[in-house]
Amino acid sequence: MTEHPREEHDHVVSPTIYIAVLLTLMALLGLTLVAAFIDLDEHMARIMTGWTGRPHAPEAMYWNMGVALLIAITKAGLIILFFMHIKYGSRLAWAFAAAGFVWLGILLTLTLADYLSRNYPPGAPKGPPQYPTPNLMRPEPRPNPEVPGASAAPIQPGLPDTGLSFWKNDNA
Amino acid sequence: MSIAAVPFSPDYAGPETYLNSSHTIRSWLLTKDHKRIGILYMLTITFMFMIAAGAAALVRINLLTPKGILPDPEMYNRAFTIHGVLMVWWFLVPSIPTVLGNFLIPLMIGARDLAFPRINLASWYLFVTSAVLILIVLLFGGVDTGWTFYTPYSSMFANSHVTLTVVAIFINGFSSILTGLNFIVSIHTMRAPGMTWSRLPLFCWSMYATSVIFVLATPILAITLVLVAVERLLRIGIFDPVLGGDPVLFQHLFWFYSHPVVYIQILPTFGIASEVVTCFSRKRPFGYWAIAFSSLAIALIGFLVWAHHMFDAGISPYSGLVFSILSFAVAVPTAIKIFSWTFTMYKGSIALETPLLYILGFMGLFTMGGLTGVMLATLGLDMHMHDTYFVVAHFHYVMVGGAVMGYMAGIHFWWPKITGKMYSEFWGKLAAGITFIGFNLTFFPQYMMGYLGMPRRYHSYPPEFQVYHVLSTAGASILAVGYLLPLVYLLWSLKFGPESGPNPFRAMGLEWQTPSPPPTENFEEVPVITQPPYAYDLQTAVGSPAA
Amino acid sequence: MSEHLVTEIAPSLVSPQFEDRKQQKESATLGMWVFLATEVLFFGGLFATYTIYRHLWPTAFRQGSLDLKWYLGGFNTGVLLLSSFCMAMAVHAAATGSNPGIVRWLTLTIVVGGVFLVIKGTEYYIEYKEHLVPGLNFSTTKPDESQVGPLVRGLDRFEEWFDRLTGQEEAIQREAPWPEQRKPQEELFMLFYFIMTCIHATHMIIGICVMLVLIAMARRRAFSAKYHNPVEMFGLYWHFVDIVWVFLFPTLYLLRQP
Repeated sequence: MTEHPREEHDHVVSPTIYIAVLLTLMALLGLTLVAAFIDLDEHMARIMTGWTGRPHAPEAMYWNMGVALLIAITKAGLIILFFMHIKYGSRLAWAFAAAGFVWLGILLTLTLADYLSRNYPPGAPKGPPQYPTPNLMRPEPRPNPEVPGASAAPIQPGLPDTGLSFWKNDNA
Repeated sequence: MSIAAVPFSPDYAGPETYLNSSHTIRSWLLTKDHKRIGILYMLTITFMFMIAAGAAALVRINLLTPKGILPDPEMYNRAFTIHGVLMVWWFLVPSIPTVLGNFLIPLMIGARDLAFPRINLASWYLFVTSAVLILIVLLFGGVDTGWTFYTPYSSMFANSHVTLTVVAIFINGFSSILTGLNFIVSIHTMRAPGMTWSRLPLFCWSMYATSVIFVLATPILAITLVLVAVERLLRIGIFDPVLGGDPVLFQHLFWFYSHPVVYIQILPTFGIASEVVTCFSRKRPFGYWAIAFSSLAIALIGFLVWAHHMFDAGISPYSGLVFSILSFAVAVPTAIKIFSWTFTMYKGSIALETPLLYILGFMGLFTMGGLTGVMLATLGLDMHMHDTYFVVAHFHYVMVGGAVMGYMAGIHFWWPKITGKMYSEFWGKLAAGITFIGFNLTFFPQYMMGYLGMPRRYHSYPPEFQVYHVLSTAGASILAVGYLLPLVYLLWSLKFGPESGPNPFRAMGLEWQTPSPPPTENFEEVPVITQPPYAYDLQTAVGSPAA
Repeated sequence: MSEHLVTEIAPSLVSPQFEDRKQQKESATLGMWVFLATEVLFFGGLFATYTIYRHLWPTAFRQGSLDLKWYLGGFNTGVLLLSSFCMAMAVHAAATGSNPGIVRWLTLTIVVGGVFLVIKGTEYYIEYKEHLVPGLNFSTTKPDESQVGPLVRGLDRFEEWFDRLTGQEEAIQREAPWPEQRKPQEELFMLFYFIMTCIHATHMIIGICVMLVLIAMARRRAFSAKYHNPVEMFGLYWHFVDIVWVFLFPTLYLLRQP
């Protein structure tokens, strides 16, 4: 019982539209494959260097990634609009279809904001995040205080053994 | 919702209600009636609450002496973990939505049931499955990582049943998602004629906001826990620095769910507060739209603040700054609500009955919890307070002082609607008072010792903190009395309580305009709404009891 | 979802909680979209994690992409797009009230989806042979020709030929100067590859099971132009699974430029 008026009949999409969409999707698939084998980053770096006069490194370009994702988004958009009938659907369905992606955007943006600014403010150490060396992170098994000399005893939980130890040892 | 033929009964027991339409256990376990499912949830979460409270009792008893009373620190770790895990996922998150939300949303919007009754029942079964799994974990030794499952401890080092716990939470999350989905769809499509958005009860607005969080946050928790389980079973370093994984990323993903989950716990209470305050002040809410939209604003902003749990976990100072500012922003819509309720009560004809007492307690405690939350969101201050009892006190003020007080208020407010019986007002008020005193005695000392530097999750502590811990444990035992009393007098009222009549509080909501307890179909005919909500100033004694 | 799938057989039946067919349809559609929003975030969590790790370990992840068979992935993308088309046609048949049409197009969808799963399984087999399965046999040393078996050897020949043809050889040489060695973080890439594709394949298998139920229902003429919510709602699910792959394919297989 909502405010907006109800149509009496479902919208039936003609199969020719489906075929057209399928052909477009296949064409886009071909396009993305072709684009993957052209080093757009390098080409664009050259173009940008010539254009702006400043050197542009291919590593700092994201054209291949951008094109691949753009084509993927176009494909997904076609499927959502036509195959999934959102073009003919209510605004509400639009909203929820969008909500998932918007919230994913929130997750990505704010998480990346942390990772991309790890070297900010200037003066912070450069380079990828420095993690502790492996042997610090994986300590030797704790020495067993009950048995002197027996150092390799695994860490045991403190509760009495129930006899069904397979539950306990899902970490083994 | 099948219309089962009721066998003719020679001794007529009043009109047919959802409670007496059939009596077999099968009719309860296979019911698709949202009201019965609400009752099933109520029984389940009450049971889980008692286990979790038992774990809390172990924790508090252990902390009576500086050396700790439990024989083994490991046991202490397991006690506080099981307390946290059970309280969050098996009590606080489902509490108000699944019990009161299930029961009330169709009644409030004038529908016969939720949009998907079968999914509703499925969601309860998923919930029970997850509860059974977590109880198995408990029986076989529990889990010791804390409710946050921080990696790489949980994924590589912990020698407890992390994997099974994670599976249980995964299933539990599925149940939450289905509940949220059902509420969103029902509120959109099942409203009765005339129930426009501007007439929607504020409880439904807050449940809508809660459901949005259910639906959009829970999947991230699910996938994160899948990753932890995979890492644990295959011994591959998804979050282990040795193989290039990043433990901080786990915290990002975990808190992307687990910060909004705080709002899942508190938003329904806001809805209950709006209903109770207007009813017992006999006034329209001060700023209906402000309350409604601040719920949605909290749901949205709640997603933008998660990294304030990670200020000292190694995130960049820049993003710490951003998250700190965003965290302050969430205080704004929350404050709007507190002000709205206060102004609603201003010059109202206030009746200090049990539900309102609980809500008044909630408003005080939640304000304290919220303001200390702002303190903790301050980047510099948090460096000192992080992982101390100050944090513990803060979130207990919000979750117990806020969410549980709201749940108790809601249960008392709608108990006559659910059961058709009235509880004893004297015992109700007494329990509300005891809860308030016990709560403050338990958790206020924790603010103090946290500020002085007592870290959380420690099995033993320096002797100078003992006085606070003893006070806190004493308070916890009073709090326990406050929670046990309602159990007794509410159950007592089932058998011996007087009939409440359809509308004992002369409240205005649509749910009060049908008999108590309601018939299986909720309304005899589809109601048509012609009045604005909470029109207490126009009250025409709808269904009010004869003096 | 089960709400729509296990629904009553009698056509034009409106569940008792609804007023009319329109309300029922509206609720079902909205419910499905909300469910799909949760699915977007479920997969999205994986994509986000993948993005962060790709940012942290760019070279290892690119080398991981080079170890996957882009032509198998590309072919599979085409296959899945085709199955999506079949599904759209099944929904079309449902909207025009043709139960035999539903049976026909759903069967076709299952067949095409099955082809996808077979190819995916073959890929897994190849990766197993190449010692790329994390937790099972991942090693930073590539196995030599004698170990991998004839299938992988044949594909390697094809790749070498193709790289020569497109002039990629040099670039790949530059990227991985010691072709027999892998970076240890490539295990992370392979792990995400396996988790993502396995969860995707699980969704497909669930989808195929549901389609079998739908076919059985259509054979009993359960649907009509007025009542075909289950087919339509399931169609949304199947297209969504397709969309996930549309994003998985470039992120896993194609972002391989040195």
